[in-house]
Amino acid sequence: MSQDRDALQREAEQAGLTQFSEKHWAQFAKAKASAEQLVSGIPRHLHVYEEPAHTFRASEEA
Amino acid sequence: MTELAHLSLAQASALIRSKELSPVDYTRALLGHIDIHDAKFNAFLRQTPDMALQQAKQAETDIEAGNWRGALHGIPYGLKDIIDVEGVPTTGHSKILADNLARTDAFVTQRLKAAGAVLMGKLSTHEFALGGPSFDLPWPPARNAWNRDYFPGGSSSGSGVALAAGFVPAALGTDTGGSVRNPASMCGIVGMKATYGRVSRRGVLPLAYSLDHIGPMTRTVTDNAMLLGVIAGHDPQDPGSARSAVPDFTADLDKGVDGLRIGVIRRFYTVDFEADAEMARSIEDAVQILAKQGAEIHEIDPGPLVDYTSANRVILLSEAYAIHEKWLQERPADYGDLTRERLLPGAFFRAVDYVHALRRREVLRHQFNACMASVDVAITASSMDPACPIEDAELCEKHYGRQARAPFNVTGNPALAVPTGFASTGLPLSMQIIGKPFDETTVYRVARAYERETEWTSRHPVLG
Repeated sequence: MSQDRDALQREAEQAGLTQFSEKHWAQFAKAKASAEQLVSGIPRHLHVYEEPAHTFRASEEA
Repeated sequence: MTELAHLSLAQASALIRSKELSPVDYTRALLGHIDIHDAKFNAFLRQTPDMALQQAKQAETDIEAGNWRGALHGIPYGLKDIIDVEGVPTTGHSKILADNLARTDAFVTQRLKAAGAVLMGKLSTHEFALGGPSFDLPWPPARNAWNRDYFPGGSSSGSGVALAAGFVPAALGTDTGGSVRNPASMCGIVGMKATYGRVSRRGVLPLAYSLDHIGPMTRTVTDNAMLLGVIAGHDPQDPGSARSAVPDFTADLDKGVDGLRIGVIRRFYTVDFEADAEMARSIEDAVQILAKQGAEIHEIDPGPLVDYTSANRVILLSEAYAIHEKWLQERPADYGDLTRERLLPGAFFRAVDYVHALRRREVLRHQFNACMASVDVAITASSMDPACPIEDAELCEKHYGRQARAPFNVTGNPALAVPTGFASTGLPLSMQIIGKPFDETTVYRVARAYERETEWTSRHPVLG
């Protein structure tokens, strides 16, 4: 088993994904690359006052 | 039979109200039409003929007694199979939920039952409204009624096909990144993703809580406005449900567009993507038709499409992974390949990625609505391409991302997909009309003005 596969397997175990077949490992590796690409499209430089969408509300408004 | 199959909801409703059309005869005719043709198209995952005939008989009895309940009374409809109907399985088109019997009705099902509508069955979807078209699930994928070798769009595939094929005059789909508007575009029908919160999500299998919308799908614009009027409204049991008053969405349908300001978002289909030439041409032609009716046309630029789609994907896959985590841990082999492949990136997102995507979403919402301040509605592409061959997995995957629908799941604005003609292959073309939050009425007004000048929604496929 390659070092890459070892690292991937550790990540899967941390995520509780322990029932994978060989086909699933290939998908998991592809998913990691896909996730990294998707996250790179989200900017990290927003002003600290920029709050998330759907902020918590304590109760329904009157 | 063909005449009944192609009646619009409005036409059927008027005939039923005047007692010229029996709900029972209408239901029987459509059940027969489905029996003859659906084996070729797989629109239905499960039919409910006994329930349909019982509801049709009740509608007929009520109407004969002078108790007409409204536009949907006695009208057959179908539901995407992620929407609960008490006593009927909600499978999500998945082996994982193959025996998942719904214990109560979804909010929208309650509304349709109260309106006296007639449930014909549950319609095909991509697995869990995400993975498709797939050939490794317990049920086959729906096929395009205009040409069964082609993809009908998704994930509300069966809803789009059932309408185009004349199996029902009304159906509901759901839309998290474009899943009502994609099959509407591929099947040549009308699909609305109303404002987030306009329609309750209670009793519908979630894909991503903060992006999910339930949407009306019909063959005409008027029908769509009528159906939205039945399912819209506040639901205290849906935390995302809006308290906004529900207007008569049909009120402005015939007011025309003279003096309305229409913003064209050309960058989405000429810069961010280069749309198929026939698709782009059909949208430009539509804009010209509206201009000739007196609309003021402006070009608007809400920023790069990728900004919106990136936020959509990170939020969607983060929320979806939270929903599917346990099943992915315990039963990964029970998913179809495509669903598993699309869900697994969620395993790699960190909490901070999700929070940053949500912060980005709020910035984009403000940015888009600032852009909309100078116009009444916007027009842009829905899909960049007409339907692709359903068995060409590589091309389907490529087309999956070539769309401009996800921005409006991110911002929550209403967005309607309407037919704009046909490609040289005979497959439907389409555009989107986007409104300001809670202004679906103006979206329908513009769509109807365009529809009145064209004949696309009156064309129907030959089913063979």
